[in-house]
Amino acid sequence: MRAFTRLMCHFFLKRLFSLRNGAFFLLVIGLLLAGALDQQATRQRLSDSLGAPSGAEETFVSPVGSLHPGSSRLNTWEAVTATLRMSGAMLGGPLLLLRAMTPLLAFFLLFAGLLCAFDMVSRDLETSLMDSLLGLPVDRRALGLSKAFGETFALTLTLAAGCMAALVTVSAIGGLDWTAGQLARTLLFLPVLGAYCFAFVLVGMWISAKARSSNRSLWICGAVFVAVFSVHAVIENAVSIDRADLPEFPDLPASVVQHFRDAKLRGYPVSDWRPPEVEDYFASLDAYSAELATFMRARHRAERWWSFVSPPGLLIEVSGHLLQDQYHDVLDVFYSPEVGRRPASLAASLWQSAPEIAWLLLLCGGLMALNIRTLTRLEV
Amino acid sequence: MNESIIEVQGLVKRYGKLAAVDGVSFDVPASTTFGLLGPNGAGKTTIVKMLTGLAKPTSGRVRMFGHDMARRPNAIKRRFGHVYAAMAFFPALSALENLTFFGRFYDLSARRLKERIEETLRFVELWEERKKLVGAYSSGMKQRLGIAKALVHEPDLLLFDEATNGVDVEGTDDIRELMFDLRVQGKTAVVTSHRLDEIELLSDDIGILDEGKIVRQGSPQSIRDGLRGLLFKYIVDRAEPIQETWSHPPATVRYIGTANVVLSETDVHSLLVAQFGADTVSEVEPTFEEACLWILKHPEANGAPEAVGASG
Repeated sequence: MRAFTRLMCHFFLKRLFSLRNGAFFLLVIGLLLAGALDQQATRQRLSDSLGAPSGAEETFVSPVGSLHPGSSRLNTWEAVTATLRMSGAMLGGPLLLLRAMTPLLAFFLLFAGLLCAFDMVSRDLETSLMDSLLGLPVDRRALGLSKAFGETFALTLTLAAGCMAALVTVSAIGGLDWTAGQLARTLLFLPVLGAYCFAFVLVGMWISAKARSSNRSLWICGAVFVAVFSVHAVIENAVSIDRADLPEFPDLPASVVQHFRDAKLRGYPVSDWRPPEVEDYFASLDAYSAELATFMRARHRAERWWSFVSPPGLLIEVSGHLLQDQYHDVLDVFYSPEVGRRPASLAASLWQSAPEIAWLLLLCGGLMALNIRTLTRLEV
Repeated sequence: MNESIIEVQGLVKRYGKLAAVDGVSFDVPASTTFGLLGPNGAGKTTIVKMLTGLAKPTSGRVRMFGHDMARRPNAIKRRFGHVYAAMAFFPALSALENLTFFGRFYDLSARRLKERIEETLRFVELWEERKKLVGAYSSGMKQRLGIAKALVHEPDLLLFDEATNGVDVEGTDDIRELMFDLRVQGKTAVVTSHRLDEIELLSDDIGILDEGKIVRQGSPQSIRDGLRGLLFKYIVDRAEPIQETWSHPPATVRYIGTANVVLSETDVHSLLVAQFGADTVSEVEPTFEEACLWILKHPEANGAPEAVGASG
């Protein structure tokens, strides 16, 4: 155990203060800062155009209008993001910034993880340093684990610190205040980002050990990056929602159109009273939304399985649940008669994203076992 | 006979169909130096890697200090030091930091480790350079640091695998001197090299490897003695090159400026005397290098000499 700790500390510090890690730190800050500032500016502009800030009940969502040919997961994710972005009340606070950047982070962390690890073992084999390390009177499993954990923790810490630094900066510039709940959600999401990155570091490390040459390993890691990107893109489109599958949108009766036209001519605000045909139309819209929500829930349940072969999909799914504090269940964005009575709860969000988080952890565990097996059998 | 520190039995290492090491067996008694000699690709480094636990034998057994390498590798690793060609260290750390890092994995107290680091760095004459980053060291300095690393935990056995490879003449001389000092101190060692002079100088016992097999084994003198009747060497004291005119090959004739050296697999003394006169021809013992080269060319040879008469 002492040897493991000693080795891990060594690998951690060596990686933490490496030039490559410094470059990743600056890159993630730059990337997030630029993206988050853009998000914040967009939100501010939308908020200003919508009028004075108001409460949560003033936010609106138009899922029908924003539905596009993509997976139900993507539609849900975008609908929730849109409600946060277009809220006059600046809902979600700094969560939206991280949420909006998640698809970018999914590929950046994939890139960073593989690039960090592609020569983790091969470089030591090429320089013969591995001879010295494997010649130490230390259990090989301890050596493999310490190398994987030490170097990965350093990268994860760097990227998480970069994310936080960028978020805090943008929050300060944009005048966003953090609530305790939002901070908790952000802090919970960072380990998920870490686990995601860890998985790819382990993939890179395994490739590095198997390839035994940094040059070969770099090419294979490049191919893995392209493959993951392609699988994600294919899945998002292959499981896309066909508009023909959707429940039919209720026709807008001429009498309802006439009512709103008259109301507009009379000038806003309109009174709470509405003629029966308008109430009927609103009721049909509710029925449509309920049908749409049922459809989306069924599709989402089925499509979630696809995310299990697409790591970026996993991360986006988790971010969809965790990085919002408006809905008890993100699918409520389409319709929920209980909205207002079911407060957004962190526990519920965690529960919703539990399958993906569990799969991610299982993936990390499996990859770790694979790496230990490879390193234990490694010959120099 | 001293107790054996290393016992190797029927060691085989295969890479696919290629047998890099094919049934090698030897023992190394305490306080002796065993040299493994052979051309590149003969299997020397593979054997050392199996001795150090860096490679797993396909079959056969390695026992060191009474422990089986396959079962108790760490107990064995604590007791030997390994120096190999182009030793690698953490380039961004100083010599002192590198030795401290590696030394901590052996059972030495912090105080003893500090003392040992100073002793070994002084021994390899790097104490003045201890704070310099290893990345800035020359290859000779790195090899000397490698020796310090191998010695820091006071091992009972040292394994030198092509330790002078890639080092300049001066560095090679320094490293050989260090290895010789260790021999004088009574350390047990295994030395591999393709440099015959190095092996002859340092080893008590030598195994000559060819294509993964030990083709001859013994002390340098016994290896030379074993070639009596198989290899003949003559000096023909003539200031001009002579031509090989006799009919029974093979023999090599080398003009060295003041005399001719004749190496022959047959006794051609009478022939040379007949041709050049008795006072110019003298028979001498082949050098160790010549003997080894002949063995490597004739790994299977072990026959009686064939005398060749003068043929005019």
